[in-house]
Amino acid sequence: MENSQLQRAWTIYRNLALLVGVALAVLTFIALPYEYPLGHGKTALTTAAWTAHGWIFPLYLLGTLNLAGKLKWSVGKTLLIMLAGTVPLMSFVAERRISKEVQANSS
Amino acid sequence: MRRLLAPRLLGIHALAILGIAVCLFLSSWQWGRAHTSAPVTAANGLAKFDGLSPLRAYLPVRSIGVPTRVSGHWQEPGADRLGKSNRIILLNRPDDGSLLVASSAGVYDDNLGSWIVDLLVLDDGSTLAVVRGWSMHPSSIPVATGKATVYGVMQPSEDSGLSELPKIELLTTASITKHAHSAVHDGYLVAQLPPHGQLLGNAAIAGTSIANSALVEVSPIIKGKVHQSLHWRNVVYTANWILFAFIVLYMWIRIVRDELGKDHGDTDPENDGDELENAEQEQSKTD
Repeated sequence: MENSQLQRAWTIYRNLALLVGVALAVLTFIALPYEYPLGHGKTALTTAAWTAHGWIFPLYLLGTLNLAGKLKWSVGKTLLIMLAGTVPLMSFVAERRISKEVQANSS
Repeated sequence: MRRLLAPRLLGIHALAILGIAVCLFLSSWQWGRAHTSAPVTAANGLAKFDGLSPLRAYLPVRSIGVPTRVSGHWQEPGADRLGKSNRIILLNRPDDGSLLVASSAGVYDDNLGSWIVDLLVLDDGSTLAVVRGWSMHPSSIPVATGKATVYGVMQPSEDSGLSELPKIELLTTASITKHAHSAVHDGYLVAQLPPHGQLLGNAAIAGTSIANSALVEVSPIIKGKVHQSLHWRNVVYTANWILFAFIVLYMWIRIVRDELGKDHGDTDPENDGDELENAEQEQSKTD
């Protein structure tokens, strides 16, 4: 295992996990309540936020696949980590665990 | 190869194929949400009359403002429903639809006449309301009869935006339904004189609304095709489904490869060659 390759895959994954986590948290805890319980409906800004998430999430999936290949994860684990990106705040938890795994792996 | 057909893997194969199919189907569904797939077929500015359907569906956006040509026969007088007449007369209207919209600011105050709306029963039996024209004396215009081919521009059902105008009755799909004897189309057709070179045939011309010289052509509110811009959010979501399909495919390949990889530990002589090849590849990588 090339350590620098693993480090790069990890960095990419970490940034994407952070991005997707923040985007989903903003959508779930700000945009959604603003649109529906508060009754503002779809606005240009919230639509842009959903669209941005639509771009970030597939990148997160690709980043996860890339790291999964480097760490030789099982298919089940890979899918679980991907799914973590769809549960609000869960991507942060997943990211922490994976960072520990990577650090253990590279030391 | 025999390993790939093991019962456990057969299930995985089925799941993977199903997953890919579902993702691709959802991708096309997502795309269709914002983009109607059937293009308007326009030849010489004439759209084929296939963009409409009886009230099972609303007038497709792609059909609004598009010149079209319809054939049928005018609704026979007689069996009127709810005591309504065979014709709809809309009072206090200018001959220009856009003037009508502008007048919500009170622009026009004179030269108001009536829109004459007769009902055309299309060849498939459905009913389409046709604004035949504008007249100061609607009672002098006989209700159209017989077969007709009408050239015109489709307009959506009028909405309450116009209802602030005094003394204006709206031309809505609901109001048309009250007068029709069969399923109606959403929206209405504003009859136009066919452009030069658009021969409708003599019989058709005779039945065409504008052929009555006492009628003034009404200028439709919406002219030209309604622009449908690319819907970016929809594009990404569509692409996402395709990506999901690829991820399923990738996982499938991984599972199959892992499964085949197990063979290396086996004593199956068939795989010896593979192992050699793999070893060679490993070698060339490190070179």
